[in-house]
Amino acid sequence: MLFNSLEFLIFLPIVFLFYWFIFNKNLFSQNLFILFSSYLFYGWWDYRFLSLIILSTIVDFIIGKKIHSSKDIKSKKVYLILSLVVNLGILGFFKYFNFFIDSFIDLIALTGYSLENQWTLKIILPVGISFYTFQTMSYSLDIFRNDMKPVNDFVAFASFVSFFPQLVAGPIERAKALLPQMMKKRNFDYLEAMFGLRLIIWGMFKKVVVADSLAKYVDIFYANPNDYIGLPSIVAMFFFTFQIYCDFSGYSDIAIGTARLFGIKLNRNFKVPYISSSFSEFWKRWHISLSSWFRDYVYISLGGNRVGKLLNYRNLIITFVVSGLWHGANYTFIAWGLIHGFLLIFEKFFIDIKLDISINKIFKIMITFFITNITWVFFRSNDISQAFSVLKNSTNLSMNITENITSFRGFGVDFFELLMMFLFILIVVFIEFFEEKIKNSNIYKSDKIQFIWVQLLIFFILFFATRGELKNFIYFQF
Amino acid sequence: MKKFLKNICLGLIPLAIYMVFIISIDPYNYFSDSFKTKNKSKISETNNRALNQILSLKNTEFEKIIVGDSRAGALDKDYIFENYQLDFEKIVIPAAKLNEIDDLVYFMVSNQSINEIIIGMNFNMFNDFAFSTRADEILKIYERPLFYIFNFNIFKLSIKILNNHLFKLDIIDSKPTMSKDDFWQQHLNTRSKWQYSRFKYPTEYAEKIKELDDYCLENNIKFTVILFPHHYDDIKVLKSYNLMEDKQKFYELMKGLNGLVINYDYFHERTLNIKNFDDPVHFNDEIGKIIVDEVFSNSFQWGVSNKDKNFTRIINDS
Repeated sequence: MLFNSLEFLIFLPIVFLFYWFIFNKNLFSQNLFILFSSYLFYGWWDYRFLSLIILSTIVDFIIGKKIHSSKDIKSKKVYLILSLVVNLGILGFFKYFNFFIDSFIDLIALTGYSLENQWTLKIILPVGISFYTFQTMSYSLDIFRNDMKPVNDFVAFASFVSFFPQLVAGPIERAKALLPQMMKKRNFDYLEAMFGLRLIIWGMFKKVVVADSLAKYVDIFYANPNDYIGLPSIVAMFFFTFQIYCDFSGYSDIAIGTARLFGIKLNRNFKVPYISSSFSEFWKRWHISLSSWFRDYVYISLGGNRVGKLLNYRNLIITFVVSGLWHGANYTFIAWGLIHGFLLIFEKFFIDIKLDISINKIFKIMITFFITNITWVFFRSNDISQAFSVLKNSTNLSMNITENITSFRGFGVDFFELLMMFLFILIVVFIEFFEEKIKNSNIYKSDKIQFIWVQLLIFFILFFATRGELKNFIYFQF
Repeated sequence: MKKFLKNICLGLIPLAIYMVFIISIDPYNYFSDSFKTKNKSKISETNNRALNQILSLKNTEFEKIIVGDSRAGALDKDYIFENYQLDFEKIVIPAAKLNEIDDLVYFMVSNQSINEIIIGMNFNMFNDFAFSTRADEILKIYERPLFYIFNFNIFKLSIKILNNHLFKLDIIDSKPTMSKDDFWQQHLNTRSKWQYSRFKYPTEYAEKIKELDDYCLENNIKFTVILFPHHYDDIKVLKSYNLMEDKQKFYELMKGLNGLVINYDYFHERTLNIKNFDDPVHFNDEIGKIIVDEVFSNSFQWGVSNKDKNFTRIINDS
């Protein structure tokens, strides 16, 4: 079930009313209903893959207890490895099996031998598999590290794994943050619910109005990127940078807002990432739940920055390559991760040699943003060579102004629509920047302004949702 | 909780008022025609001819359709009925693209018992960069009432109709501010140049045309494509962009179709005469009648059919 679908529009109020009016008697009934609703939400897409979530849930519930009750570190390690093997095994098979087979055959071909590919399978990628497997793994890892104790309430644990607002595309919640909330009966809080509702509407606006409008242009561009040079290529790169932000942060806002309606607080996943003045700052602002997961469980496990400089650089590269691979079984994602890894090393290098380059912060933000645009080309392209040709074409400024304007015709969008897209981007940037930087100055100063603003957003969402161009969330494919 | 639910209900009031407003004005009589004003139908029709036509077909049964861009508008369905006793419905989208014509045709064949399809087009539509999604939007409105209610153009149109009704405004037919000659030159220097300066052979469109042709053959639907004439001035622009080879390739494709294709777009006394055209790509009603007569009497003096051996050769004669 998609957040931007009619089914969800019907599902959410029903679940909300049942939750607070019928299943509100005790913790067990609340959790049981959350679990049922979450399985219904997921099963709506394909009920067969519920078995994978249930398997992952049972395995980590049992292993968590075993790790905790084991006396010696060796047994603890064996159980932890078992958890990792099961979760990464599920993930590896469904997400990476064909990729590794194809890569192996390509590798063999480099030696001059050719293998006939008889092993690739028709595998459906289960929605949200990368998210819930990471969430359950964090539970076992935290118990192994003595950061938390296992829980005895299976229903609460299963609700934590499958909590529908964040099940298919995060935020990836740590057990120590979400599980305690699942272990306490929730009471309705008016202010929290209103905040949640506002966040849902804002997230919907970002997804339906901004991201999907930009997608129309970006999709046409990336279908045949070699047809465009100069300005249309640059605009497509710029639009994708905001499409992916509005798409994913929109999803996260809807998830966080929906959770608030049920009395659950999820962690913030984005903090206006495009105002970062460095890449280390960018990764503290972009997909925070995933980057902190990789920081805590991969980077730090490899030694983090408590090792020598070279090993530290190696740790960064490994972490970012794995992070890239997490996004999808394609070399483009690996390249994207690799570039970010090298950018961080580059930044660290200047810090390590204590070279302080005094550049204006605004200029730093602009440079970071400019390079981020380039890295997204690798993320969006179908293959590496396409990414390079997009970048090459974007630097080809041989067309004159008339030719540049004419070349926008192929996108099926008129000048007014293009202008509107830029305007929407500006609105998002302005609102979020304002909220982030001037925290105490609530832009919704009065209830009346807030009411009018929310109404405006709702009308925009409805006007755009009924244009019939609703798209899947980009991060569903991961 | 009560306060929360009360606020949600309050928040839904503007939405409910909006829905009542649109359903009451109902510019295209989607739900009912109870709100009638002097100029409502004229304003709605002018606003979006294609939507108006398609919605007006909502409760109509028909078997024959003509689909095309504004040029297909010159094929008068009343004239066809009076002279050939064939009852056609016509769907015209101004500046329609081939993907839109394809969408419309498949929509019609899936909703009606169609036995004859006439498509009006020209090579200038056969371009990978000529793409639009208006037809898709219109068809979604046709199928889903919520899409109609929350369509921004319907909202603007409802306000316009109400405004016109309340203030008793008259509809003023806009007259061209430019002379025909000036408009002619402007068209050649802007639109024609824009269209031909950016061309890519549309493999996908070629496939779509072949698929539609096969579909019609399999389902016993008479399929005719009329290649509308352009004035020779426009053909000269096309030549200046070295597109004759692509045009030739397009004609090869059309020649291979099972259906009947009739070409009027070549060097001919009629395509040289400026009096036959309103602008370089829009022929007038008289030419429309000549085309209708040729197509329905199956006797071609000007048009060259794809069954004729000269069909592909003729475009190079100029």
